[in-house]
Amino acid sequence: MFNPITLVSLVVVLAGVFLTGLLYKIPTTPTYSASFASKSTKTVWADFYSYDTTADSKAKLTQYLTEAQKYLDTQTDTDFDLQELQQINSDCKNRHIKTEVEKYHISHTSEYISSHDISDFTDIANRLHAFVETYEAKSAFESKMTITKSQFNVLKGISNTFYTLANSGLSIETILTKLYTHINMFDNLDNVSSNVKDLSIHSDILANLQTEYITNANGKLSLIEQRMLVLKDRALDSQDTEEIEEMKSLITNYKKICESVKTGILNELYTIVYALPNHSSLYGYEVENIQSLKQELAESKFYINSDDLTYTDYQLPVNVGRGSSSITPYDHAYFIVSIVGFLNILFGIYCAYRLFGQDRKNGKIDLLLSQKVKFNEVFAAKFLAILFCTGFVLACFTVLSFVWGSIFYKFMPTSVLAVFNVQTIYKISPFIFFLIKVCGIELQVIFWSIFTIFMMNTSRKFLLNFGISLGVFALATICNIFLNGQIWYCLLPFIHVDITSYLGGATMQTGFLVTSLYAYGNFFISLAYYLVVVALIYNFTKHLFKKT
Amino acid sequence: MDEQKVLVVDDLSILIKERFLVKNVSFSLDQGNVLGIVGEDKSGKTSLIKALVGSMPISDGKIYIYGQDIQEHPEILNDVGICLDPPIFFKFQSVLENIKYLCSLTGKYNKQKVFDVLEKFHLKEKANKKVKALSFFERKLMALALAFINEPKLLILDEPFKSLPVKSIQKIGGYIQELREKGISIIMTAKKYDSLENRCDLYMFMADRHIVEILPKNDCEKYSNSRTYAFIEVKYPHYCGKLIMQQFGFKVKLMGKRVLFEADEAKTADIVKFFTQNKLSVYGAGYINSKSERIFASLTPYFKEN
Repeated sequence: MFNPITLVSLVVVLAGVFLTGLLYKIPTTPTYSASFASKSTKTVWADFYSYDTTADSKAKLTQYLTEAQKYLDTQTDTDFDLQELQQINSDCKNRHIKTEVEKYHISHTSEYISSHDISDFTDIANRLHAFVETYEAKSAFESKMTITKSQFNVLKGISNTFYTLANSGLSIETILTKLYTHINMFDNLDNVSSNVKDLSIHSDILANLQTEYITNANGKLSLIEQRMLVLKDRALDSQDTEEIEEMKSLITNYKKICESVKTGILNELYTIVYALPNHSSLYGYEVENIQSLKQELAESKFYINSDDLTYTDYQLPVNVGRGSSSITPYDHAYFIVSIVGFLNILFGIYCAYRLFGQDRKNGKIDLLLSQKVKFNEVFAAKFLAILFCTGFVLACFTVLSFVWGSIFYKFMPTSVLAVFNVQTIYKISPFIFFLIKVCGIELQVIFWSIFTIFMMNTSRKFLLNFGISLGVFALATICNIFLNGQIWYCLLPFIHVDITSYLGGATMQTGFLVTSLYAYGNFFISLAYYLVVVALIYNFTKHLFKKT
Repeated sequence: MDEQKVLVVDDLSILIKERFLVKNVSFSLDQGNVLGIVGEDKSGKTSLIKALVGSMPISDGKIYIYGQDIQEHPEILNDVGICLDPPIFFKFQSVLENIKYLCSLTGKYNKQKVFDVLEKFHLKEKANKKVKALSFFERKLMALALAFINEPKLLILDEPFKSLPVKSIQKIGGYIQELREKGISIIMTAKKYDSLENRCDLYMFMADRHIVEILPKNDCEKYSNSRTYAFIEVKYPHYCGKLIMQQFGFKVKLMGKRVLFEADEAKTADIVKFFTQNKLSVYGAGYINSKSERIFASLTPYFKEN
C-alpha cells in the first residue's frame, strides 16, 4: 500500500526537521542564568545581591544603567574632544609651524634648523595622533563631538602623515622638505577644526530621557526588589517552588528593564541623530535600519513602563515604531491577503469536493476510467485543476489586495489588524516576505485539497465527507491559536494557517525552524517534509479509491 | 488460453470492505457472440462489467481478453468499449465536444467518421447542442455512437434498454444488431430477461453476487414458458417457507423476500389468510408472470429445511 521509499524518505526528513529545530530553536525568554535545581528563594536572593558578575546579579545588571547614564552625561557635559581638537589646531597656528615650513622652502632657513629642535611639530603630531586614535576607539555617544566621515578621513590622513614624519628619525631639513609637499594639511586641519560640531542635544530632551528611562526604571526596579524581599521572607526553604518561579520571573524582568534602559537611551539618541539633515555623512553614527531601531525602542518602553513586575513576553503591537507615513503598500496588501488566503483554502476544499465527490457520484470519473484514462492521470488532472483555479484566484486577489488594502486598512481597528499580523518583523525585503506569504497560502491549499480528496475516497457519503473536511479545517484553525509555539505542534506544518510562521521566525520568536528566512536549508527541509506528507496522503488516497 | 474466445472469466471474485460484490464467477464469450447478463439490483452485474473494463479491482480470479490477462496486459483494454447506465457526459459541453474529447482519450478521433456516425444516429443536427439539453434517449444514442466510432472488439452495454419506450428500444436494438454484424462481441445487462429476449446468444442469470445459471437462447425460451409460481412476499422468508411446507405440504422456493410455491388462487388465498391470522406480515402476494422471473424461479432449487 505505501511506497517504502516514500515512507523511508518521510522518516528521514521528519527526523532531520525535528533535529534541526532542536538545534536552532531561539530561546524566547531572556533566562535567568542561575540554576534553580537545588536553590531556595533565600539563596537566589543572596546570589542576586552578591557581587558575582558572572551570574545575573544586581551588580552586573545595574551596569547597564550606569552605561546608559554615561551616554546622557556625555551629552550634558562639556565636549572635551572638540576642545582638544581645537586646542591642537590653535597651538599649531600659534607655533607658526606652517610659516617655518614655507620659510625653509624659500630660503632654506628655519628656526627649527638653527635651534636643532623640531619638538613643536613633534608635539602637535603626537597629540593629533593620540586624539585620532582615542576618538576612533570610542563608540557612538561616548563623545559629544560629531564629525563627518570625510572630515575624519582628512584628519586621520593629516595625523598619519604628521606622526610618521615626526617619528621617522629623519633630519629636520628632510622633515621640513617633506612637510612642504603636504603644506595644505595645515589649512585642512584648520578647516576641519573650525567646522566640527557637537551634537548639541537640547537639555530638555536629555532631561526627558533621564526621567523617562532611568528614573522610571529605577522606580520599577526598587518595586521588584521589594517584592523579592517579600518572597524571600515568606518562603520556606524546601517548598518554595512557586516563589522560586516568581523570583525567576522578577529577576528576568529586572534584567530586561536594565537592558532596555541602555538600549532605549542609545536608540533614542540614534533617533535624534537620524533626524539631522546630514546624519548619513556622520562618522560613527550610522543607522542601519531605522525600522528595527524603532521596534527596539517600543520594546524598551514596554518593559520600562509596564505595570507587571514579573516578566511577560513582548507582543509586537501593530505598526509599532511606524508612523502613518511609514506604512508600506505591503502592509495593506498583507492584511487583505491574509483574509483571502483563508477563504482560498475553503475554496480549495470545495473544489476538491466537487471534482472528486460530486463527479464520482455523477459517474464522470467512471466515464473517464472507462475511456482507459488511468486513475493517476484523472487524479493528477483534477488536482492540478484545483491548484490552477485556487492559484489564479489567489494571484488576482493578491494584485487587488494592494488596492483594497489601502482603502480598508485605515478603517480596521488595531485589534483586527493585530490578528492578521500586519506588522511583521521581517528581516528580508518586504516583497520577498510577501511572496513567501502568498506561496505559503497555496501550500496550505495543496494540503487541505489533498486531505479533502482523501476524505472523498473514504466512503460514498460525499456530502458528509465534505462536512468532515470542513470540520477538521475549522478545528485546525482553532488549534493554531492555542497550540502555536509548542515544539511538537510544529510537526504539523499544515495546521498553521500562516505557514510563514512555521517556516521561520518572521512573525514568531518561537518558530520551530529558526530561520528569519535567512537559513534556506531549513526552509527547504520543511518544504520537503511538507511535500512528503502530501505524497503519502496521495498514495493512500489512490489505494482507497478502488475500495469505495 | 483459447484465443478464439474473446473473453474468459475464471473464478472471478471482487471483495470490497469485507463484502463480496462478485463471487466465484466463471464464463466465456466466443468471437462475434452476444451475452446477456440478467439480474436484479445488487446481483453484481455492474460490478462485474466494471471489472471487465478494469475500473474495479479484482480480489481473486482472472480475466482474459483474447487470451491475455488484463492485469498483466492492460493495453488490451483499449479494444474494450463500455456504455454505462445512465450515460454520463460532460453536460455543459456540446455533443461534438464530448465525442471529440472522449475519442481523443482513446486516440481514435476521426472527424469525418464522427460526423458520419452522428448522422446515422440522427444526432448531426444536435452536434452543437449542450448535452444537458438532450433527452435520455438521445444520450443513450450518443453513448452508442461513441461505441460505433471507437469500434471496439468487445462492447459492454450496461442496461441499454432501460427506461426507454418501445420504439426507442427497437431503434437501439437495430444499432446493436449492426454492431453485431460487424463482428463485434457484445455483452449486455438488464434487470429482466424480457428486454434482452431474442437479442443474445447466451444468457447469464445472476443473483446475490454469483451466477445462477448460464443458458443458451433456446433453453431460456423453454424456461420462460414453464409453469408459473404463486408467491408471497414476507419479512422472514426462511421461517415462512418452513411454515408453508409444514402446514400446507407445498414445496417452496425462496427468491429474496419471496416464497414461491405451486398453488392455485384459492390455496394462495388460504395461505395469505393463515399468515395474517397468525399475525405474520405479508407484504405482497401474486403470480410470477414475467419471463425473467419464471426463468429465475425455474432455476432456483427447492428450499430444504436444514
